[in-house]
Amino acid sequence: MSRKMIIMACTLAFLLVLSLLEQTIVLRITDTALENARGVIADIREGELKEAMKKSREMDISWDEQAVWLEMMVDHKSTDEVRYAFSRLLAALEQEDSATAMVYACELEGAIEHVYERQALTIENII
Amino acid sequence: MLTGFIRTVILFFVTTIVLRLMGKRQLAELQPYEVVITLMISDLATQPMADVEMPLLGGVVAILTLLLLHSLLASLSFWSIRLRAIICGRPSVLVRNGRICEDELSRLCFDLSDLMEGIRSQGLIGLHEAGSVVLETNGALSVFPSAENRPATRGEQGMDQRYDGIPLTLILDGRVQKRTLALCGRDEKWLMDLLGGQEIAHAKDVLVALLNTQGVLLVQEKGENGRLLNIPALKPEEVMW
Repeated sequence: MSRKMIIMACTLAFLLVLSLLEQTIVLRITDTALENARGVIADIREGELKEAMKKSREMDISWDEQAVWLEMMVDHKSTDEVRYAFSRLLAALEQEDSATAMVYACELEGAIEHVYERQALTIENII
Repeated sequence: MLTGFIRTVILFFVTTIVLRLMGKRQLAELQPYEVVITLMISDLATQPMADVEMPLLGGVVAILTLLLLHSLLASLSFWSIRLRAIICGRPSVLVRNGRICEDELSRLCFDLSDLMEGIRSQGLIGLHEAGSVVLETNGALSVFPSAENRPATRGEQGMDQRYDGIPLTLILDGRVQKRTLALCGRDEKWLMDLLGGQEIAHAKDVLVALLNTQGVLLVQEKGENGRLLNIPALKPEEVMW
């Protein structure tokens, strides 16, 4: 096998591993965040604003830690949208405004979903 | 600002390595698919440089994917003549036996003035001197003069036809070129003995030393008053490169 073939095979392997790793990391981070966001929505719906506030703060910290990895792979705008949604949700929860908090929690859920949807291997994204 | 600097340095090296891996053809006349790949690479490299919000990995992955596609297409066109014709196209004869192929020119939308320009750029005065003109797949125009306008070869003139190949550079700017020295089957000691015979003690005193295919070592010493020497080094039958 020529040197060039070896380089090409290594490049192909690198690209495949990188792509799979990216899909796995993005899916894992967004899945966890989505699950937590849905928990916050359920708490707000049941009027448990303190519990929602506690979960949101934990989620915010955890998102900031994981966004470091995400931003190596996805457009920073997508992760920033999630950060802004967190800020708005926390502000509404501090004001104990459950209706506005519900709106922002749903917005947060949508922003997290969008991060994964933009990277997912789908026909829509390819076309 | 520093982020942009680091990203630019990384992308510069990635792009340079990729172009290097694509080979020398990428730096000269290109086939159609090579033009596409080169244009895409330059654009892909500049986007993450300018926009720091864009992940660097995205650009690198796209550039590496283009490298793979290039290698795939280059291998396919190497192994199959039919695929090569599809990927690169076929050369077109524009002038045959001094006669312009009108149909071919109109098929390629190749202007007559472009043809004249191409012929002149090859050193011929006009169409009447050109025997054949071929438009190659990389867009270059190959012009062959007609028999009466072609300069006589050494063979036709009955002159000496001894092998006249590329000379080997044995010393360049005072440094002995060990790889080239190995090509003529000699070592540094042999070279220094030859130079010593001309009162040159060190290789660093030599600007350039070339060994031609007649077996003569052409030496120029360093300095404004450096000597030009022709030293018989090998017998013609010992020339093997």
